[in-house]
Amino acid sequence: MQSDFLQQNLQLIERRWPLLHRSLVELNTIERAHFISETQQATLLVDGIHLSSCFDSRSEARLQATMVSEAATKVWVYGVATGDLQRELLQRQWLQRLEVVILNLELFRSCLRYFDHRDWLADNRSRLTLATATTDVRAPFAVVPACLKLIEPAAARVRDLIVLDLDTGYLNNRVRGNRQFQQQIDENLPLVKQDGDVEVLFGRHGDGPCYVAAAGPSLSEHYEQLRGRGADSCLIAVDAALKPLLLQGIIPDAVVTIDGVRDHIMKLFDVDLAPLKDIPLIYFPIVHGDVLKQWPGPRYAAYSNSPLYEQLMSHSPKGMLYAAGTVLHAAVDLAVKMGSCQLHLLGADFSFPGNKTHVASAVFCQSADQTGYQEWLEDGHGQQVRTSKNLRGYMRDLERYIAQHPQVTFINASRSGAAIMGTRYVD
Amino acid sequence: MIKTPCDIYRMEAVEAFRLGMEGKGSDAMMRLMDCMAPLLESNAAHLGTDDAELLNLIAEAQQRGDNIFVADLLEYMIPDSAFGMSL
Repeated sequence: MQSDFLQQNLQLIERRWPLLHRSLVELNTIERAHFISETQQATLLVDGIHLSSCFDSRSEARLQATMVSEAATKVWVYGVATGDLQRELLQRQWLQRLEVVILNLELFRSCLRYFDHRDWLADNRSRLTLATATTDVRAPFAVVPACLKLIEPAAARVRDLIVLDLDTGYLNNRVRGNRQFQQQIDENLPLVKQDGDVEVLFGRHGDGPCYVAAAGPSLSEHYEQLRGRGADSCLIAVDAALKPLLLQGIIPDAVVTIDGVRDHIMKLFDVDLAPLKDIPLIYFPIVHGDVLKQWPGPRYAAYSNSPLYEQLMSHSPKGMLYAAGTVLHAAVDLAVKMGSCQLHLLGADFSFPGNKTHVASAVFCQSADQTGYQEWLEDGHGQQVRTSKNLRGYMRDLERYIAQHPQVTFINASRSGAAIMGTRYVD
Repeated sequence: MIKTPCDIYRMEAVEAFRLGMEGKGSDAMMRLMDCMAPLLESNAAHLGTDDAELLNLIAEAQQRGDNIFVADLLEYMIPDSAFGMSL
């Protein structure tokens, strides 16, 4: 029978973190962790997830610790498993503070039961906190990846921010290494030089509300409102929302497109564009030339901070728009830079309300069941709504953006989609 | 020792999964499977029950998001010969 270290570990926690100790002893849940000891190294199995390597958890912890520079004096660790990662980092002579963030209290208690954590818990440099919905992700950090899978629902935002952080470098390299995209940018150079600069649109919006239309299922809740909107308002549509809006007889004041996949984007513009002859298209130069050339109205080029545009920026400077993977970011940033103080997010669901991926009549609208995505977010009613990892990441990036723009009131126009931190509801 | 592309993708996936880099790990896994497909095909007749079970275990673990176990299976359970490693 395996040892039970719970009481010994708890005694130490009681001395150093009495509040946390109380939460741990008051925890009233059935333990879901299974102790696996028949492998080379013991670990826990929780809901089908192994917490650490069954073969060499020390070597695994050494690898995980390489996420943090040897010279770092203060380090954050997200998640607790066997304690090997904490031990590995505490061996470093320059380390002055190890901030350990617990991602799941029940899981933490299981770890305290099956593994002896007293050495690192007793180290004066260690601090322990429990992740909450508002916990920020601090760097430099290392992570126990399995704990991200088993995170408490209330702290899901922390998981999303960590996942974003971990994947960003890889995603940037993938875009940078895409020869097709680079070629499209090169081929668009004459257009970029001849077209307007998005910067001329900045500061042009007055006091009225600004609506940013994305193509989430809840967009359809706002068609009436958009038809009756005031003359002082502004409607900016992302490319995927253009067709549904036009089919409802709603003409946006500007359209934004930033994606480089030709065939995908061409479908979004496969609609009668004639009513848009005075409507500006704001684009990133990665967009295929075939998309740009068919636009009947004025075009304005913009760049993001992607390495793809570094060279262009030096010889053909244009205004910048924020974008971290979705055109909605660019549309929101455009609205803010145009001077909007009150920004209504329409159809910005970041999820699949009503089990649909997009608003009806959007090109890629399908049943969420067909996607296979099993991730979830909380909607405006506090209920779980299905989503994809990408959408969740985009939303977290938007939340970061919103937090950086306190001068703007962001209104989430629907409770059907994801609850976006930093936004208000009108109802 | 010269490593084959299969082995390079294997270690990329192992490292990425142990670090929590799921996107990079999944990408390396796809490349690994593409790389192994011809090897598996040409050796189909010699694949034992254990090998097939191992491949199933990997697929199931990946499906449920048990990436540390995927990393363990790739690193410690699959024999180097399966990756066409040459010396």
